[in-house]
Amino acid sequence: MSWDWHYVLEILPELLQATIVTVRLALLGFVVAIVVGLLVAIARLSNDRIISTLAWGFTEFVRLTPLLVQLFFAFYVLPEIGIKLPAEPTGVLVIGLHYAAYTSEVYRSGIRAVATEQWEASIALNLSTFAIWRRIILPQAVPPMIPALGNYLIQLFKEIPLLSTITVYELLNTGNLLASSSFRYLETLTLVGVIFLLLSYPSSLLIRRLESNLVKT
Amino acid sequence: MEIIEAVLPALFRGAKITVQVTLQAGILALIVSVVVGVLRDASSSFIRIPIGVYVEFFRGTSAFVQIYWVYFALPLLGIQLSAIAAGTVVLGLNVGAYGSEVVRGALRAVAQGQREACIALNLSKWTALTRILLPQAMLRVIVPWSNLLIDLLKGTSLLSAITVTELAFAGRQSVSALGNPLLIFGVVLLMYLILAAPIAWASKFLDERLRRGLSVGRQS
Repeated sequence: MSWDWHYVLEILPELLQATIVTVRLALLGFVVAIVVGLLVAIARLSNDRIISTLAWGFTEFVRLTPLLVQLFFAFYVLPEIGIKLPAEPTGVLVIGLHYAAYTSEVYRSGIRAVATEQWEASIALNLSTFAIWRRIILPQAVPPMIPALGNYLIQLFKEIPLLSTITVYELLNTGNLLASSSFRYLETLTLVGVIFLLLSYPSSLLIRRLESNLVKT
Repeated sequence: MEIIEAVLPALFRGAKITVQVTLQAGILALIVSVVVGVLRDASSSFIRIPIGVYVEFFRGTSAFVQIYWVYFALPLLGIQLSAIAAGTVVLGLNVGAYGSEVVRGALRAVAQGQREACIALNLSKWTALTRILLPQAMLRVIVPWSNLLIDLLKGTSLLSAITVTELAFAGRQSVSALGNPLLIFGVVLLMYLILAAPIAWASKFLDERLRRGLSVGRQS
């Protein structure tokens, strides 16, 4: 079977549209991941044993079981217990929660890296807990975390194709649909791969750059 | 309870295939990691560049897309692999690409003085690598590798999309035959947890031991 450039041009617009969908899903999932991840990290550092154990259990469970099965679980079980969500939000939520377990570890080590004196000084100045986190700890802890969080964004983006298994039409699923009517799997799947590479490789170079800049300063 | 009895044999068969694929792809990944990790910093650019392309290619595209590509697109170029072989090879090469970066990092972390000493002692490149540099690098590799092994175990679930009856696929089949996704997927998740937890514990234990015994920190 030979490579058909005409076919490539024919399907390119549709694949690019699906790329936008994929990027959008990845960004939405990442928003969930960084918000929930922060909450989980704070919960894990909590003095309350029950809260910190629950947060620990969540991260361990999520990190030791496959995202794919978590997706199946949410997609088939949620409707049974009365929560009817369309496939896309379900996917975004699950992948976001999955990565929250990973980002929480980044936050946790970042927060730990803030010198203890900063905490002591904040307490000595009688700042409220909220003000300590918002004004003192997080502004120092977050910037060094940015490369690690960025890497997780890229990883999350590369796992968006898993949502195809719960009927979301992202890049891979769109490619499959096109290929199943034309039987041109070679062109469609190669293009899907190339699009992923074109988006994720430059992003990872950017993050490496960021990382070396941070190390310098 | 009856439903659990009904699905357990199928899930155990699935888990067996999951373990089998994990081990086979793991061995492939191990070999690839060391060879590629060493060659990535080779002095000859004829070796270095293709190796770099391999690593960046596998890290830059999604594992799921790679599996689809090898199973559906590669046969059109004349190379036909069974679903399980395609999945095992792709996972092995994928994890191998990540693992090679770990090896490269660990080799670079070996003190420069060790390399200089090898040259001063007139050791051949091969002897220096296998007797001096790799043994020291391997200690730093263990913990990141065990994390990759967990990723690999979880990654085998992707093979369900190309009809390999591993654990996730067995779960899905059972749900479509018997219903009750809460129970069946719950058991499937638990089984993955039981498979992955020992690796995580071993990794944590080794990490603490290595930190104590040697001044080797966790690298990630």
